[in-house]
Amino acid sequence: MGVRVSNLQVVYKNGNVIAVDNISFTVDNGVVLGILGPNGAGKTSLLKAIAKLVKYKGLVYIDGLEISRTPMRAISKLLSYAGDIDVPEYLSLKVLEAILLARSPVSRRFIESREDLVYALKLVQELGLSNLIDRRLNELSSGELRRAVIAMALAKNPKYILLDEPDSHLDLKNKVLVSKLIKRIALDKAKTIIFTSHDILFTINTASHVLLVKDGKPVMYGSVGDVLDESVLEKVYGVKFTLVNYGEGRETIPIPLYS
Amino acid sequence: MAIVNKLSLIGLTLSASRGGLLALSLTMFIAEAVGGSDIAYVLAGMGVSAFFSGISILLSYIVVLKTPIAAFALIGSLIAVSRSWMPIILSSIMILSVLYIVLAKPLNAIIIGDDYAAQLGYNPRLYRFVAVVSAGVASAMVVACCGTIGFLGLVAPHLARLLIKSSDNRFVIPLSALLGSTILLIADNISRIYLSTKMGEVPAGALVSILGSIFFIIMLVRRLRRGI
Repeated sequence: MGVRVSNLQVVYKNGNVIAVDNISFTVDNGVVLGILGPNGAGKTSLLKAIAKLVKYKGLVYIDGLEISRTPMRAISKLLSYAGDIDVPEYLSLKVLEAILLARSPVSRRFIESREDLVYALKLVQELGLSNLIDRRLNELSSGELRRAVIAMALAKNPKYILLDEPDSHLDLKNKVLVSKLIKRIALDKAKTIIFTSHDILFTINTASHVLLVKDGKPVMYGSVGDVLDESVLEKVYGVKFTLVNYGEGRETIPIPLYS
Repeated sequence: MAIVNKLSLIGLTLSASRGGLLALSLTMFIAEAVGGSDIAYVLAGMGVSAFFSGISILLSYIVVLKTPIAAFALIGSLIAVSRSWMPIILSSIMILSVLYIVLAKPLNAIIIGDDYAAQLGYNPRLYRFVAVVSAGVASAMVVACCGTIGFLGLVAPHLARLLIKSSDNRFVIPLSALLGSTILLIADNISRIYLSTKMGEVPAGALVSILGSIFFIIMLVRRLRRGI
């Protein structure tokens, strides 16, 4: 079970742009995987391929199912993909409406049932959105919107949650909040979460495992500790790092050197 | 006689659908070529509409020489209402009622984004295609009977969303239908009862187009001011 990616390749523009170049890895259930790398590393393309949202070459298995042979309907029950949301103002749905809509794969009814509503309201409460249920999505602050998007991803109770740059556009306080949220969801709800980010601190504080990528190629896959290596980070980011220990030597953080 | 009538209704519907779909595909082609935003669609639609209007006028000039009442088909009038239209209009409504149930939720998802809709299990391109084609065919059928009524299709949904403060298509679509038809009915009554004493029976389409386009311009100005 889990997610298994084998020789994945994603190309655009008739093969002229290679976004993902031969990546293979396995994600066991319960893992929080952070796909880390600078901009343009192919993180989003990789995530979208796993969600079957872009054409790819190679094999992707989710819960043992080879997704190219699995209809989108089945995949939509297994996983949620949440990227950035940009909705024109006058068309935007409200928070509760959007969370209810997100239950479609499991609800499949024209008007949602009472169970759907109860489930949605529970999520609203858990994610601190209770006084925002009637706000339109485009009226939310970036932190609120990110929480709403996560609630929408959870609405159908999928086994796997794919989050594309869940820390983008967030100030520090919200980054920490979202980080804690992701960890809590993985633990309490037994979800397997894969997210992408270019923020090293966010990633190592949120994920249990990290896949480092650069220019579409895999650099390293391992636990957070494995990735905390000055030369590896410098190779990926093109910037010198220094590792600093704190918390009585049990925690290590990488600090980029500006001079 | 009845058979000829039925056949000509079908023929009418078919050629209206063909013409409508041609105009539709042209509009989509132009709009998508410049980004596919909703404003692109409206502007492309207006251009294509003006183009086909010209052709229509040309064609009807020839026809009107023989059948003067055809002039009203250009403006959109309920003056020449005929009971023989009922099967066409009813079929149009029936097609849309069925498709409404199939399309409303997927369209809600597509509002949020194509990728978002896809990961909910709705193929965005398929649903968008079905929605656009069915709207095109259904409107072409009605236009074949009554002529075009400008901007009503733009104003009614907008008004509906303002009224219920929501964009949920499950409510917006039926409400727009009700609002649109009510607006037209009121406009027709105004022109029939009030204006006819002043200037003869003014086609309802004229009134709705005038008010509708003013509404559209106000909408456009507001949105462009806010940076779209």
